[in-house]
Amino acid sequence: MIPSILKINIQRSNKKRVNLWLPIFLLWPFLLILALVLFPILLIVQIGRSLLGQKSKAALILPYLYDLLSAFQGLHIEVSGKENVRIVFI
Amino acid sequence: MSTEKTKILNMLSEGKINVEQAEKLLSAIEKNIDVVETSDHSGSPKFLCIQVEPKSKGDAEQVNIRIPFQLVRAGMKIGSLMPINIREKVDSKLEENGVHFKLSEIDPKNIEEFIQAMNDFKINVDTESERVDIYCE
Repeated sequence: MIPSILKINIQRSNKKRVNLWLPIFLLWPFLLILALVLFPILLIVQIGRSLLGQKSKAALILPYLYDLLSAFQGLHIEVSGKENVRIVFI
Repeated sequence: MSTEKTKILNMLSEGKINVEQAEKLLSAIEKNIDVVETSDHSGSPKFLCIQVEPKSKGDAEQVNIRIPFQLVRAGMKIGSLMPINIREKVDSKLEENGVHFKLSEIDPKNIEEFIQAMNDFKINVDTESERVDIYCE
C-alpha cells in the first residue's frame, strides 16, 4: 500500500518544534488518473514492440512503480545535530 | 509441555497465582512462541539500518536511517526495465569512476537470496570521531 502520510518533525535549538503531517493520500487520485492515462499508451507500446518481434516490459512499468511507491512505507530518516529532523513515511 | 507451562501450572496448584493470572501467563508464553516461530520462517530481514553516532558532542550530526528492503526489491524491479544499452552506459560510467560493479549482470530473481544472506550482515566502523553501524533487522 502506498504511504498515506508523510510525517516531518523539525526541532531547532531554542525554537518551536515543527510537526508536519502531510497527507500524501490526497495525491492518490492524481496518481490513479496518471496511471489510467499511461496504461493505454504503455499497452500500445507493448503490443507494438511485440508485433515487431522485440521484447518489451512496458506494461510492467505501472505495477513496478506502484511497488516502488508502496515500498516507501516504513522509511525512516532521522538526523540530529544543531537541528533535529525526522522524516517518516506512514 | 514446556518447563514454563509446568511452572505456571505448579504455581496455580500451589495457590501462588489465580486462574486469571495463569491464563495471562500461558497466553503470553504462547504469543512468544508464535513470534519466535514466525521470525524463523520469514527469514529475510525487513529493514537496513544505518546509524552514525559522533563521539564528540559538538556540531556533529547523529544520523539514523531505516530503509525497508522492499524498497531495494522495488528498485531492482524498476532497474530491470531499463533498456540494455542504458544499463551498459551505467556500467561503463561506474567502471570509469572506479566502481567495479555491473548493474546489467544483476538478476532480480536473485535479490531474495541476496536479502536473506543479509540477515547476519553487520558492519561497525569505530573511528576517533564517530561510530557507524550498518545492520539489518
